[in-house]
Amino acid sequence: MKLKKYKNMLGQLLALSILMTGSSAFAAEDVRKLVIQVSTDDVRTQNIAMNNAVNLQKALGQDNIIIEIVAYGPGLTMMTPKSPASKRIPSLAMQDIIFSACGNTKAKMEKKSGKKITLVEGVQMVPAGVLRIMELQEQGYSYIRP
Amino acid sequence: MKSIPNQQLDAFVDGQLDQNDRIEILDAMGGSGEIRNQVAETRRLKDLVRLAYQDQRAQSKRSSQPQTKYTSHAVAAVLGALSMLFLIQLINSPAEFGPTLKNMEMAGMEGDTEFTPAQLRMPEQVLFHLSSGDQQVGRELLDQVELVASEYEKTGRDLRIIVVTNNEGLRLYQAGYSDHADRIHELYARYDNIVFAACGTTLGKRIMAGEKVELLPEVIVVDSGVAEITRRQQQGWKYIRI
Repeated sequence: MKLKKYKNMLGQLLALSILMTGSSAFAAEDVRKLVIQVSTDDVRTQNIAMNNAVNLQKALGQDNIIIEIVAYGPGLTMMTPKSPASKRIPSLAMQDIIFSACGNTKAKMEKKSGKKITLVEGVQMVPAGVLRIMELQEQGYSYIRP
Repeated sequence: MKSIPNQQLDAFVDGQLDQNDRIEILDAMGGSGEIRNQVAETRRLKDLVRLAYQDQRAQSKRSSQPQTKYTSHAVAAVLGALSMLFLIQLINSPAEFGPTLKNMEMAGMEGDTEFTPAQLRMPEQVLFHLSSGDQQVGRELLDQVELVASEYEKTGRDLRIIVVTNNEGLRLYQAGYSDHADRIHELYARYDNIVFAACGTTLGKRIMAGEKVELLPEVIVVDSGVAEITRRQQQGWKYIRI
């Protein structure tokens, strides 16, 4: 009687594990990944980067693509409140577009100007932008530099 | 029109010629389709040889893989079965599981290390690409190259870097134009895993236009910047355009 109960449990667990591995393999195959590099302080290019992201999300469906925009060097201005491009970031971040700011650049800019730099809401910090881009490519992200 | 000895061609394709000889060949390449074909043929042969070796390595990797996979599955299955039994035991006699849990954890860890592909990992490889003649952008490029090189050195990970310049980007490598000749020399002396490569097509164009091009001594010439970039990306190199 007891043994039968365990057998049942075993069966359920096995079924569950098969289900889980199956669905994760499916997800990995289906979702595309893209990293967009912004390394210029040209506002037009910064806007194009965000347009690319939005258009791709529209074309493929928000759940079918993971997009991360990485800004470093002069491109970091995009993620500071001063830049007109930064106004779109909080709402785009709510739409699952990931914004990563280069910590190395931020530290350098702060040292140079002597002032603390704040980033707009929805932006995450990474230690170094270029290293982040390399890491994402390692994980199979496609790379675009508008 | 003089022909070029095979030895010279080999050295040229491998990027081992000194600057004057290199430019002489580029000059000759610019003027003669026959020599361009000769160079292309040499390069093709070398690529074939290299790919053949890669194929062999990949095959030996593949043939050894199923076995490890099989063992790892077996290990996982055994561990799974054991943990089921363990769960059953746990329900029956909660007081006794202390030491067993510890052993199980250790066994699990051993199983994990067995199929970590750390030994199979290639060194990290990254290609930087510059096509702008703006010396400020050139400086940013060298900053990024140095940042990545030093970061990997700190953490002791293997890394290979190639810095490819083409079009106006070639100016960074040209004596008399580059603001950063000293910096390139420093980086070259400091790190042995950085290669500075100039686009041969761009170089050829300049020479054809009658310009006297003098490249920095640290720079090698590749056939074409764009071809180099696509080749390396196909081989799994990361790509960053500055």
